[in-house]
Amino acid sequence: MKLKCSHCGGEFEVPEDVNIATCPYCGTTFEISTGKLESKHYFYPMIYDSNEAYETLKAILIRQFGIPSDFKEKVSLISRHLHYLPIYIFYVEGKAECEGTEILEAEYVAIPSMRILPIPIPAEYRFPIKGRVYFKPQMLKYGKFYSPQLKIEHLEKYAKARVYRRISGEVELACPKAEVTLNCKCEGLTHYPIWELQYVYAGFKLRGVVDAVSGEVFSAQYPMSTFHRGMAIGMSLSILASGMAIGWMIGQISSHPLIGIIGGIIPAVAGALHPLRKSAYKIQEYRSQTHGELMDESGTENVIKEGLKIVSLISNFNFKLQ
Amino acid sequence: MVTAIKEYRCKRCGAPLKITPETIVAICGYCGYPNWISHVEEQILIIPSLSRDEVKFSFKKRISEDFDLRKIKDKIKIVTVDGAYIPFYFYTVRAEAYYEGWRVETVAVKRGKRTILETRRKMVRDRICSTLKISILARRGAEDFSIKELTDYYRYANPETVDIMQIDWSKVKLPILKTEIPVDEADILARDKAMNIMREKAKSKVSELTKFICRAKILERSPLTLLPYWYVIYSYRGAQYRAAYAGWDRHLLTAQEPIMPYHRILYFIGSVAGCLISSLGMVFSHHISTLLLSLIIGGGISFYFGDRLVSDVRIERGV
Repeated sequence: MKLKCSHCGGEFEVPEDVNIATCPYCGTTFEISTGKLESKHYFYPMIYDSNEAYETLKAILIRQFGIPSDFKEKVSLISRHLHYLPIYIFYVEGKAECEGTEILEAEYVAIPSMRILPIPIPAEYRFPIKGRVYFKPQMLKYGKFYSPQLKIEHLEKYAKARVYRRISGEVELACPKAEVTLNCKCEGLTHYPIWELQYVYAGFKLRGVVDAVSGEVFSAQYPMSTFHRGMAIGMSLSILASGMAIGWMIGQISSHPLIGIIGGIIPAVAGALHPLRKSAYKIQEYRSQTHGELMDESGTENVIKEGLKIVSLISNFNFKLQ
Repeated sequence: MVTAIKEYRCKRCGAPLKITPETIVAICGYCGYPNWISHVEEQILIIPSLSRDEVKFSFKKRISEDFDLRKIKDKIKIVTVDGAYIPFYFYTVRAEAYYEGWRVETVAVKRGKRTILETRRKMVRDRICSTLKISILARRGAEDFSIKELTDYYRYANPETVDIMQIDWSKVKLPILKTEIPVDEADILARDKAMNIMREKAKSKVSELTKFICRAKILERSPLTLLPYWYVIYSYRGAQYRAAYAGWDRHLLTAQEPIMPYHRILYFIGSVAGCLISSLGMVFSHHISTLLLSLIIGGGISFYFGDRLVSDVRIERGV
């Protein structure tokens, strides 16, 4: 459906089934049916500008194994986009009574309200609250705002399902018949800025994603030098050869030659995997290890679908929605 | 990293202040005057922090003494030294748990002349009681680099705390961040955490947990406590690394360090050692379980060092 922003007059499209919309041009967020401004709407002012984000990204990439030594001099930034992702934060509390004691689970759940993410972000990312401020359109200079695309009820169900999944295991162990009460408090909609940077090195077009609030590099592509790719192959072959040789020698000493070789070669394959993977591709990707695997662009919808599946599964149990 | 959202000025000298919407107290960078930005009702404890220069000195001392860093100390440049006071609640929680579960035991049984290993399943019912020390970070999602190490070290070192109203402000040089978690939510998170710890304890005693009930009672909650946390970002050959310090005594929490060629040689040897362990274990084991175990251990070692071999950074932890 087509909407017109009450603040800047910009026209934009939103999905039919949502009740909150954000103007992509100025970020103004309002209730579609009434046109009233959303009161619990926050955003994070960008702290790392595109240059700082790019410098941080380069500083992380330069320490990667196998990056060409002239990378820093020859790489150049070709485009930068600031994406403001709509994130809903929920505080969910699960409780159950069991033989006079209480079973508890509490968690803050942050979920991007998007069917398809414009950029990959870590699945377990705990969005910081540091720096969150009430939204005011005049504070912004640039950046693309995304309108929430998923129904808030669905997100809430998902947040509850996440906590339910944890608490149900505990209830099962304590009193399988106990009733679980879930309390969910929505902490409002927050637009969170993330940089998408594109840069070129020796004709290769590469992409990096950087958190514009904390400066953390989520992911960034980099090239491997031919020398280092060769070196990585050399490393994996040496591990394999050493494993086999050790296995063979021990096999000869112990009179179980076959077992010795198997014992040497299987760990060698495990050890050679990482160097081999490094040598296999010219373009490698650095990924932040701190917040779980990266969600791909279609991640959120899958995550929500999975969450809703859990809800439908657990609706057979004693599950009281409040 | 802080950013100025709205222009605030020092009440004493009028210099602009750098604040975020969550700063409780901003210390003027020019005259050192503490400016209260938001009103605080509850009691707050604070641990006086050492100064930026002292942290910097500590880092420089480390790079001239550390076995790995002293070889490259001329090429190391400090990029920034920054930090903040991070708010925590510290709890003492009494937890009592009852559990039931199956324990699988492997026993050696003599059958004639041979000794064979037999596995038996045994039902275990027991109670465990513990008084746990729990820390709750009073900020959402601020689980930054080394925060866990900071609280662990705080418990170990037990530095003296001072009421925030009585602090010597000329010594506080760090921005103070407000809490984001109300006390009642922190209580629930603390009890939840205590129960999870007890469950893990029970799980470690049996191979299959079939029943678990836990009662967690808060015996004590500290006032909101502000721990000073510093980090140094340094560069070596253009790449950046980070080292984190406890602010009250400059104790190193964790540090990222560059991987040198000799580390890679050691990792290579480690990977090959995995093959040796597995091979030796397999040829000399008499039972399928020990045979598989040596294969898994050797494979794990080899896999771990293979990963280290092509990784980008080493993490060193403070002792």
